[in-house]
Formats: sequence, structure tokens, C-alpha cells
Amino acid sequence: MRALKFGGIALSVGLVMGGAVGWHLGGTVSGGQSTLREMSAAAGYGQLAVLQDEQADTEHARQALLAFTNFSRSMRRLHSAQGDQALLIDTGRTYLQLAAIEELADNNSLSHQYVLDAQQTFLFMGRNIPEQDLDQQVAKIVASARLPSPPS
Amino acid sequence: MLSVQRLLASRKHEGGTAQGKVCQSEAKRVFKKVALFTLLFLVGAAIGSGAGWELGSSFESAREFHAFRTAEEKAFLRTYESIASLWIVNMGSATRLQDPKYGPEGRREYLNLVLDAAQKGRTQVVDPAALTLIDVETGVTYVRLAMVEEAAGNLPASQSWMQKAQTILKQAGWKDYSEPHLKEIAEALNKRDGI
Repeated sequence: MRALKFGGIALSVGLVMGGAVGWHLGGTVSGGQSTLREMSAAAGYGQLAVLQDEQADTEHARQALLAFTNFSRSMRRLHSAQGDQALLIDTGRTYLQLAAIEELADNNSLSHQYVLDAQQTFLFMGRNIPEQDLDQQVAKIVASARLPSPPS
Repeated sequence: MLSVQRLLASRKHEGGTAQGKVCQSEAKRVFKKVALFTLLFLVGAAIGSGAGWELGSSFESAREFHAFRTAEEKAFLRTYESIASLWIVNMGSATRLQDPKYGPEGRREYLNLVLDAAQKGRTQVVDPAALTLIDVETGVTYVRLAMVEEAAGNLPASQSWMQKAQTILKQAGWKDYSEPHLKEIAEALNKRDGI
């Protein structure tokens, strides 16, 4: 009877301790995997959108960049994306790129809206960048896009 | 007097042996108990850690995706998973393309993994913009395959891959899909995406 009691205690102690260690390790490994996937998805989508912006015609570039901003908005609801500042920087810069595309297409009100979206995105990460500074960045992108491309 | 002393010594010795036997059997009993306790503890720990691992992983997964319930949100998750997988395989293949120890066979294998991931992504993703980006990744992989075949001296295969790349990248809206330009882009991307 005493042996049975001791056996039960040993089993219970093992279960509790093993359970706690397993819970911690399972959560840590799973969390790490989630973070890796979040970083890969953000980098993958972002880089492919940038490649489209550089290589494709205006309409395809616009679609890719806009799709990235929507993708990023959904991604921010993932637990692993909480506090991912790089995602916010990429999104903010994408809005500026979109603002430049619209300015080049003379869609000034839409361009202004994208500048405000960029400002809002940077604000999420605690950086309050004045609208004039963002306008200047858009002007730089527009100026470089207007420059004739060097002969290859 | 001497015989009495011998008798006493002999009795003392017999008593010590009996006491030793009792101690030995007690030690065995304690050892058995400790071994049983340890064994049961280890069994409990193994079962507990397995169950804890499953629960911990499930909890983390539920916490990660709890905000995605509608059909639209689930479609986003499929896009998310597809792009993440594609990018992980892409980084691996770009790294191997930069590494001189991999021959054409190894490079082909890794690039085919990218094509497989892209193909799988195409069946999962419904968003047209994301599908175009998967096409872009596929096109770049075709260019990489063309370059691998060219380096291996398989010119017909190289030309075939390059034509496929040009077709898909033209559809994706690329302004310049000439062979030299695509090779230049692929080389730049190998450097950028490689680890």
C-alpha cells in the first residue's frame, strides 16, 4: 500500500514537472517558428513587391505595392508580428512609393492620402514624422523616377 | 580465562555478521524503492513533457491565429503560409547558387524545390496580386535554371528555361524582359537573397 502511494507520488511529480517543462519548450519552439514564418512572409512579400515596383509597368507596380500594404495590415494582427518594427518601416516606405507613383500620374489627392497613411504607419511605431518631411521624401522619389535611366 | 575470551569473541563475530545481513537487505529494499520511484518519475516526466509540449504548441498556435476566423481571413492565412514557405526555400536556393561547392545537379534540385513551393502556393492563393508575385518568383527561378544549364553547357535546356521566364515575366508586366537584363537581375537577387 505504501509502495503504491509512493509510486503515485513519483508519477504525479514527474507528470507535473514534465508538463511544465514541455509546455515551456513547446511554446518557445512554436513561438520561434511563428516568428521565422512571420519574418519570411513579410520579407518575401515585401521584396517581391519592390521587385515588381522596379521592373514592372506602373499598373503592375501599383497593384503589387498596394497588395503589400493590405498584406501588412492583415499581418499586424498576427501575434508574432506584434512589435515588428521592420514591417512597419517597410509598410510606411511602401506608402511613400505609392504616393510617388500617384504624383507621377497627377493623382494628387490620392498621393496625399498615401502620405497620410505613411505618417499613420510611422506613428504606430512611435515616430511622429511631420507631413512636410514625408512630402520631401516623396519629391525625392519622384525626382529620381523622372531622371533618365543610365544606358545599360 | 583464555577460553572464555575466545567464546565471547566468537559470539561477537556471529552477531556482527547477522547485523550486516540485516543492513544489506535493508539497503536492497531502499534501493529498490528509489529505483521504482525514479522509474515512475521518469515515466511521468516523459508523458507530462509530451502532453505539455502539445498543449504549449497548441496554445501558441491559437494565440498566433486567434484573430483569423472568416473565410477572407483564412484566405489571407493561406497566402501568408505560401509566401513564407516560398521565401524560405528561395533563400536556401539562392544561398546554394552562391556556393561553389554545389554542382549543377544540386542547384537544379534546390531550384526545383522553389518551383514546387510556387506551384503549391498557386493552388492555395486566391488573391490575384499575390498570384502575380508568385509568378514573378517563378520567373526569376526559371532565369536561375537557365543560367545553371548554360554554365553546365546544356544550351537547349537553358534557352527553354529562358523563354519560359520571359513569357511569365512579360505577363507579370515587366518592362524589360531581355535575356541580358534578366540575367543581371538574377545575379543581383542571388547576392541579395543568399544567406
